[in-house]
Amino acid sequence: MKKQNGNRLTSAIRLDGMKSTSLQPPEEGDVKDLVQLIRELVPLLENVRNSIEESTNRIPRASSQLSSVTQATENATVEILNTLESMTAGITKAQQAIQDARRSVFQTDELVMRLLLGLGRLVEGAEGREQIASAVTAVRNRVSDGSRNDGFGAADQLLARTKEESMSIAISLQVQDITSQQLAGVAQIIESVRLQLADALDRFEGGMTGAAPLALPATDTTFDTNAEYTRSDARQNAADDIVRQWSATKS
Amino acid sequence: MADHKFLVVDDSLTMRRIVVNALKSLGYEQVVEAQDGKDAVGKLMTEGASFLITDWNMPEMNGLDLTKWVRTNSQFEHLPILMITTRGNKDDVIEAMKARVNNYIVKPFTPQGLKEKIDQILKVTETKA
Ligand SMILES: [Mg+2]
Repeated sequence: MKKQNGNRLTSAIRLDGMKSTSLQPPEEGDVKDLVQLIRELVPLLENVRNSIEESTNRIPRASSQLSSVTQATENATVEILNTLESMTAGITKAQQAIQDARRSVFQTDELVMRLLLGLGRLVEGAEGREQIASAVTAVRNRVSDGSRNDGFGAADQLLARTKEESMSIAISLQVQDITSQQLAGVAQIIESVRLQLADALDRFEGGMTGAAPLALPATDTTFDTNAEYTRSDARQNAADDIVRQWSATKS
Repeated sequence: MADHKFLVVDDSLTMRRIVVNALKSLGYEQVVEAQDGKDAVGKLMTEGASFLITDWNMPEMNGLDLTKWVRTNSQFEHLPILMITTRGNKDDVIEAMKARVNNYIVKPFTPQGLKEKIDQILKVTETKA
């Protein structure tokens, strides 16, 4: 069927060509063929028009879906950031509590040492003095250790590491800004397709016959369609090179 | 260190919070936020700042125009500016340098990268001052 139409189309073109080059009037059979072709083309064009109309009507829904994806991701990201911030605040408090506890243990140790020394002066037997002397040494060692390697130190290090890890999660959330710019780029492409389709539809209706095709919207500087989420240093290194060269020429 | 007041400009709430948190983890407690260039101009006029960190792609007034505004305003002419943006093309960096940003970070940034750039900028601007 398609092939037949194609043949008809070529013969129609040939017919038109004959009309313009030679002044021979078309034969009756050719005119009939042309009328038949037009009859077959009309429902075909009607189908095309309907498809364009349907697609045009579907696009706003696609765009709004994209923007709700962006919104949902931003909301989720903010929730994660809230949690991370409260975690970090909790860790800071715990670190403070550890420092306070360590200080009070230190003060208690000092007090115990002073008491032991006082006691040592009162005790008379050699055995008793020896016992007190070794207790003093034990306490002195604890104090001079600076408590760096005690349980407090280990807990403090663990908390510091957890704090760093929660910061690293927050840093990864930059992906939200980057993907939302990529989605904004896709939404812009979709919108320009919608405009082109609407324009084509208008032409079908004969509304804009002869009008120039629609221009694409000007480049939007509210987002970057080339935004990229990568852990590679390549782009930063290239930027650093340019900054270095620039600063060298300006200084 | 602690006496620097940062103005963080980005249309993404997520980015602003990440940058602010990173600054706080570096010990910078005084931070003001703005959601675009226009908002930043208002904040600069009313609250002032001693260090500007700005995104490029933003509605209303983008970061490049904000930089140009700052550089032509005698009050803020020497304000240190660090641009943090997704735009990583050579031409973009050159355009930003022409507009006289002090340094340039391509998103996603890292806390170490941020610290490095802030330190570099402050070293240069503070020795000039
Ligand atoms: Mg932006």
